[in-house]
Amino acid sequence: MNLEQLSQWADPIGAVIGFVLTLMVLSYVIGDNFLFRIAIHIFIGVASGYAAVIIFYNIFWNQVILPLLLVFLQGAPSGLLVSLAHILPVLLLGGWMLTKASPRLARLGTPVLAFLVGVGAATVIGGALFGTLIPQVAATAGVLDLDAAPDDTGKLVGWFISSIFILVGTVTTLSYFQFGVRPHIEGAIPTRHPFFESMATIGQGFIAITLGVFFAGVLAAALVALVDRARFLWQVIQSIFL
Amino acid sequence: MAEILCPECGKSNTDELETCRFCQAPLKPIDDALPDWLGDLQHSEPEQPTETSSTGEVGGLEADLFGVTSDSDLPDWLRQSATPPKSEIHAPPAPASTDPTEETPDWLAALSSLPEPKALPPSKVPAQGSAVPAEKLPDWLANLGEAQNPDIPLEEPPPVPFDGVETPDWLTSLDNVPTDKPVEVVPAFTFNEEEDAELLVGGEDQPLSTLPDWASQITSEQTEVLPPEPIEPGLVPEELPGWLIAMRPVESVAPTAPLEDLSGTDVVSAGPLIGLRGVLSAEPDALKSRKPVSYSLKLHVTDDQRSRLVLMEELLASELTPKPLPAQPVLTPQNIFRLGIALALFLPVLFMMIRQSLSVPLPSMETLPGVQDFYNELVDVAPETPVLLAIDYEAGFTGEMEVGARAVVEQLARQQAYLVLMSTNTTGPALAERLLTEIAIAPGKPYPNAVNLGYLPGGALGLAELVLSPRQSLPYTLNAIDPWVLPSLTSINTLSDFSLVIVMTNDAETARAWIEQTSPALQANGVSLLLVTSSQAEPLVIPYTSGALPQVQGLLAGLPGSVLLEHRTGVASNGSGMWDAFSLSLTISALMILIGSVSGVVITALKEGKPETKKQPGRKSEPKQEQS
Repeated sequence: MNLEQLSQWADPIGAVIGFVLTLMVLSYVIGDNFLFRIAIHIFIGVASGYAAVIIFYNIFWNQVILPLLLVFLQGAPSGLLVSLAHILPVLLLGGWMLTKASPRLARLGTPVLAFLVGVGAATVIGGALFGTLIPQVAATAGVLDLDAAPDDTGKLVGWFISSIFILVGTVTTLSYFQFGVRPHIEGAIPTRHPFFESMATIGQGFIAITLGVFFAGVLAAALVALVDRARFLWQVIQSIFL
Repeated sequence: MAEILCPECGKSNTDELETCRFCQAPLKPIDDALPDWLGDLQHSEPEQPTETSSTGEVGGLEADLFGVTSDSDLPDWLRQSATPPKSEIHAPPAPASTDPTEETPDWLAALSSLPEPKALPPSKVPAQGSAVPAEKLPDWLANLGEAQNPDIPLEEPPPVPFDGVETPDWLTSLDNVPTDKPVEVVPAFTFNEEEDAELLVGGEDQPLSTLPDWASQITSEQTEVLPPEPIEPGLVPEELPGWLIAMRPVESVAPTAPLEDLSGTDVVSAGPLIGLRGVLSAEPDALKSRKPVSYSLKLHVTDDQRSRLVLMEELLASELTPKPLPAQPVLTPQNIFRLGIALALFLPVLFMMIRQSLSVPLPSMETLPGVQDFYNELVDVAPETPVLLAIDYEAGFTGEMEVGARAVVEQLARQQAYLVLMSTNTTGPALAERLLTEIAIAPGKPYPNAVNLGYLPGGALGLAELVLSPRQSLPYTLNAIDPWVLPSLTSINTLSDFSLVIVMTNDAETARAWIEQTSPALQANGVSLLLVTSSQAEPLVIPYTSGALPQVQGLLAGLPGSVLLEHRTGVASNGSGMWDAFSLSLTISALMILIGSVSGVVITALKEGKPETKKQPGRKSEPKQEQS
């Protein structure tokens, strides 16, 4: 049996394995059992092994070892310097970071970890500020921009209602997270201002609706996965027995 | 009434009183038989210290007899007498004074001419004669004399020749007074320490002999009762109240400080304080070197401790022993309920798959405006234009994500776009290969105008680097080929050099990271960013698609958007076959949620009603408890 014949059998074999594993996972319907745990262990092991192979091959081999080999094989000193300038900092910081694996040398890797955390935090905060916060505030502030209003009267009413809904939802939701209060009377329990209290109550309703939408999305994704597995099982049965 | 003066204090008293009202001294002599001078002698005689030498010589006896009384006090007959009265002299005469310069009085000189009495042995030195007769002494003093020298018999002194002077009557009568009890002599000092101590105690009692006769008649009990102090007229004695008495200082309650008992203390045996008792020793025992005490290293364990140790070992051993879990029955109400829900969902879906129903209408473009924008961006891609596809969904979401992803890739393949696939997820490269393989334009073979750059590590950091330099972030493909030398990718130096960027992810956080890190650069260069997401990430991604300047130009969310794009592009996929089953299962799910919510409310109301009925008899019993 050559490689081409073997590849022809790969799909049927893979389909059967997938069929069995799917049934093993669906056996959880009757409770936690041996078949379900075996399937879960197989999935975790395969995913971890595949991730390790990808990381080693795609990163360590392709981005560290292969460039050096190509430079040596091609015999270009200029390329060697460029490759070393790109690889050496990575190797230095990566090797320094490995000191965290040893309890005795863990403190030596703190500067590298601090550098990594600092750069990562700056990147994430900068992205959140300029990629989410400012654009979203600008979009919310311009919901009632008449220049962006539609010309059609029927759409204009819908646009106005939608804009008011967005504005009220945003303000009331932010009012709900206003927890700073101070007592109005000496010795009394500090409470929010009645106006902010009513705003927070409305915002609480918006938050509940939002969480319901999230749950609906999760449920829809799960139902799609169930439908996909049911279709797969029927296709395998159809291809084997029919 | 005549007044007499007290011989002691000199104050005047009436002659009717026998004792002074101020000092209680007798105003009249007790023994009327004695003359005044003899009474004075009787008072003054014991005040002179009596010294008896160890040799038996009586020292100072003459001073007792003659030195105290002056010549003027003596009567003439006595002044002429050469010998003292027999009853008073029982000891040999004292030796002559050692000081030759001392002038001897005349009477003493005459006395020295008398023949010396026979010397007595030292042990038989008679006691010093007392001017007070033995009968006049108190009993305790007489007993003390007997106790000190009970064995010393008194010898009758040799008769003193009388010079023939007539003895007066009173003296004769005085001689007739019987002296039955011998007068004992207390030695001045002895070489025995114990006897010295006894003599010291007795010495303190010696001055009692100086007391007047009236004092000798007072018993020991009477002496303790002090007579009340004379109260001056006009002063009324006040009685202290009880509270003031209670406030008196303790010192007033305890008139004398307690004496320390030194009898049990050690006698200093060395050093300058040798022989003293009750002082700190100059060589304390603590400084003395001694052999260190050796302690046994063997641990002494009692039976109780041993039993506790055995119990602890048994507990530790039982912790390591695996205990079998109790077998649970397979058919429990919970399992039956769960199985019923699964069958209610799975059987209709399977029925729709078998039937291959396509009766449920597809959503319209008006209800999903992002799909039309998405489609418009896809069809604008020119041939051989590099398009970046980020395959960032998990393998578990392939059923939902591959519907839209396959439609997108197939549409791009139709347009001969150059596909560059990469992933920030480790399972992404494999899913990208699967996607390239299964597109219909080349069944069984990878799409030729595509490269799989593999995995991009670093998350948000990797994306930031990708925006700046894709060549350094992803230098090689999964086949170890440098893609950046290919003709379609030679112009790619930054992310903005791609004509289109499409991100396929089921995670809202991943979508947000892509939008935050890449949208500013892409918007600045007019490059569109499209998203293919799962239904669960749609609510968080939708805000990025709205506004005057949306960061995401097209959104394909969930199965509805994928089926709609599939229908719009005309790509044959599995989406249409899944749509009916999905619609039915979604309806069944909504009904089950509704039924479950109503049932939950009813059951909760029933459970809340039962405790109220149960609490009622309890409320009746509460007053009973309070009463009890």
